[in-house]
Amino acid sequence: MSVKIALAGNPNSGKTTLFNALTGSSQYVGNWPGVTVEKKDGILEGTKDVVIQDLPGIYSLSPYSLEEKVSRKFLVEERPDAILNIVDGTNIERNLYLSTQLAELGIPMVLAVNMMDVVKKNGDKIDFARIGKALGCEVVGISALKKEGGLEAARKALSLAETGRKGEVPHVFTGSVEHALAHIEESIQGKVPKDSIRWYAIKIFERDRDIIKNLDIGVGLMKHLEEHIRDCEKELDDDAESIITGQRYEFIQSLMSKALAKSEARKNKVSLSDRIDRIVTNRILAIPVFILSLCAMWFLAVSDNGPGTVLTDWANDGLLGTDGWHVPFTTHESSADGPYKNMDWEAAQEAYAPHAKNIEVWEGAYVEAFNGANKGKEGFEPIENVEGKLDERIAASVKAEASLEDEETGETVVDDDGKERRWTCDYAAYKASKAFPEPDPSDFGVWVPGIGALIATGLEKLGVGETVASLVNDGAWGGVATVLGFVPVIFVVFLFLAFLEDCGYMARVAFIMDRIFRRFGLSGKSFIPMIVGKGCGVPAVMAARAIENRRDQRMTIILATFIPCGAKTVIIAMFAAVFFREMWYVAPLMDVIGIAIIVLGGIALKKTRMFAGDAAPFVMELPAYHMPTLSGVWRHTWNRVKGYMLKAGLVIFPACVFLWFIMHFDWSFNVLADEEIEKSILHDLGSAIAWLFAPLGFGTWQDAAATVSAEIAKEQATATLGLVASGMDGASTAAQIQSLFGSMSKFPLLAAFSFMLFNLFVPPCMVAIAVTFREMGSKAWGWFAVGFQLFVGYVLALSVYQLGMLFSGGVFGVWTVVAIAADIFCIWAVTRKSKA
Amino acid sequence: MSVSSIAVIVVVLAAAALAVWRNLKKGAPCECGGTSRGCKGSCGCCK
Amino acid sequence: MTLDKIQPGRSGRISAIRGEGAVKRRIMDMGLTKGASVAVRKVAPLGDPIEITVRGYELSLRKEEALNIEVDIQN
Repeated sequence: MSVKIALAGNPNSGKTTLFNALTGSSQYVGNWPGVTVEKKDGILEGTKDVVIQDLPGIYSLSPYSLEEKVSRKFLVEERPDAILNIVDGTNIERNLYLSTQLAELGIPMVLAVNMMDVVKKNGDKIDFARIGKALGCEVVGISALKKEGGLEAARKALSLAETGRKGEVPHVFTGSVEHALAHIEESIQGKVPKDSIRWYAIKIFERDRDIIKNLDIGVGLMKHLEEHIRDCEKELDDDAESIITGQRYEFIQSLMSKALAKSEARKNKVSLSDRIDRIVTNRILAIPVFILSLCAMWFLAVSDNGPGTVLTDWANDGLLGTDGWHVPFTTHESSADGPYKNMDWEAAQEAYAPHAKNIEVWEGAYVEAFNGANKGKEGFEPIENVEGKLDERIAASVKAEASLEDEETGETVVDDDGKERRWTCDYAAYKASKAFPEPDPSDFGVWVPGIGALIATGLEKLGVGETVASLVNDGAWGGVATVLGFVPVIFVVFLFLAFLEDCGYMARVAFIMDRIFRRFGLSGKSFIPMIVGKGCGVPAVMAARAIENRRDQRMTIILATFIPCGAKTVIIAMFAAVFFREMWYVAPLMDVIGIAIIVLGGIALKKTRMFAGDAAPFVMELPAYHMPTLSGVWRHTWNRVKGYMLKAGLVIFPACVFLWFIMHFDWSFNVLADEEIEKSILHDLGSAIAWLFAPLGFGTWQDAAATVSAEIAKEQATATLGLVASGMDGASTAAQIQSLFGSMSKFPLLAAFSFMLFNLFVPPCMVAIAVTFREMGSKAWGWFAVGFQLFVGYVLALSVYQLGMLFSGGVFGVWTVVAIAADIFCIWAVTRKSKA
Repeated sequence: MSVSSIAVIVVVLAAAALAVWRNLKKGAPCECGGTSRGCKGSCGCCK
Repeated sequence: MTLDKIQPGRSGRISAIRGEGAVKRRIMDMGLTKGASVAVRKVAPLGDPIEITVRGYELSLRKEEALNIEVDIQN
């Protein structure tokens, strides 16, 4: 049997950092309460099978919270061979409270005083030997962050485990209590392991129901022990539990007076933490600061000129797409002989543009003319492009004319006299332009062709047919490229989150938000899963386990996923880029809407009979801020980004291949040409449910397909949209999606906004829904959660679209009435008198 | 259909099948950096 | 005076803790026991909860929980 060492300590004591250092695994470090209760373990570095069992961060071994119960159970039932108790040296008094309890278990223990680097910096001094003697264990100093002493402490625990040597159980209590304890110990002799008899006796004294039940102490015996306990209570004028906790702290306090010397200078200095807090939790500034941080994050991520968008555009078009890109700092003027000599890349492209326009416009006109001239001829098939079909006679007569579109706005250019500006090109001009050389990007710097372009030309060279090429270009590669292109955006979001989580801001947010949450019976603690949810909804739902009250926990689970997660962020990023480029506020608005839904939804739920009740208590430690380490933040961010990219390859990729197939085949498995897409399986499937979305403004089979595909992974919606829009007009995926929405509604921006709202605020992806069902514990509750979320998303999109149509287009119909009715219902649900 | 076309189709389908098989076996990757299988069916090992 | 009514900046010693059950246990586990010194740091921007310093660290709790804690003001 391998050696098992339990790692126990308070939350925020640096336990997780130590655990990572000891087991080498890349685990997430959070320094706010709300740890999931799953047990983590790992193998101690340098050993083959020594197990380090990480226990949840706990303040005590009382029987009330889930984490404490789990830890107790492990410690007394599985009896590890040793305990490594980590203690925060800057907060040692309260930390030792748990230590005294652990020491009473009679298991060999090493006490590791962490954050010694901060202790030294503060000028405090701790007498390890004294503490060790008082508690009956070995005490060492470590700095988990600086990787000093942790492994040694663990090895010390290991050697203790192997020799089985344990210290004396500490004498914490006063005479009369000790007297009662002695009696209790006597009566439970043999019922419990000899080494832990002290711990059990104390628990019985405290009238711990779980322990009394487990030990099967007879009613008669209990009555006898009760007398002793009551004598104590009368003598000390307090109840048993309070006596124990009070005396523990008195013991610790007197120990500290001898073993801890706080530096005088520090007593009066205002710490940096306090100064930050003055602003962050300031009466007036707190909420603006919070909103500002959100806006800052979104600005960096999706604003038009922000790093996120710039990099995503480069990734989508240049790196992964067909445009290609120049390596920065290598661009220069062309030295090649020819029309572009001494020009830079932009100037060259500008110089070539009129020629490209000539070709585009003339060839279009030619194809029309050619088809028109040959219509009706036997065996004639209309051509789509000029390739090889240049009939000199027809060509000579073609004189093309077209209107100009402003590159940025897409509107037709109109001259001062009100007439559309016309572009003309005849056959001679066309020939001249065709002969004009295109600028070669590699003349202007180190040129990297887009991967999409490479794949496309590669397939061409291999002689692959057009349909199969589409499978790769649009389906397999296109879909994945769309999702991967957004890596810069989610990188920024995850980086921000990691920083905020690591520096301790999250506990402050719970503190600020508690009042609001109490309004609907939750506590600030419920806000933490929501912050977690900004990364991924699954751990958010699981973080609700920290909420003791089952009813409140259920409510939190239902509401947690309304905050846009990483995948939903991709949807926001895409829509921001395609439709809302100038409107930077659309992105943070989604977060605000999410929070609003949580607050209002919470209030409404609380008023129902199901959830009515008293508010849960809120007693929470506010750990000091600390500067997150670069490596820590990087590791958390990279873990998430890596997961996202892996998901793109393993989930999005096969999904897109599948979608491509059902988009290009009909029900009899015939291959379809591009124009026949309406016969495809996907079209039929999408159309079958598209009517559901019609009142929301996006009742097309394409949008239906995208929405449903989002259940696999929310970001799949972007890939699916890119795929189904590939038949539309437009030079880029973005333009095609614009065309798609333009074709289905007179108000494409409104429809796009509605689509986005729907996908963001209905039930999350399948994985998250599965976790919801699991955490709810019953199918009924699971369905309630899903139903609630579906209702919210639908009504939200419906209201926005219908009311938007009403105000901008004066459109009033059945659905406008339905939307208004639904809104009135929601307002009533939120504002009515509670059923409590 | 050309030989190369068939080859490309085979490659793409094989890759997709491989991805799906890996998901079923090892668990789908999740945005928090773990794999769902590693946490008994859902992306829960991340905090 | 009960802890919830103490103004930020003042401090004192706990003289009694009322209430019962899990919440009381939790409060005591966190170091708020008879005789412990507490100082009120601040009130949250929305009026509740409050932040106090006890046993060398910062703890936040609601006024309705602080109501159960009787404190002898010392400064």
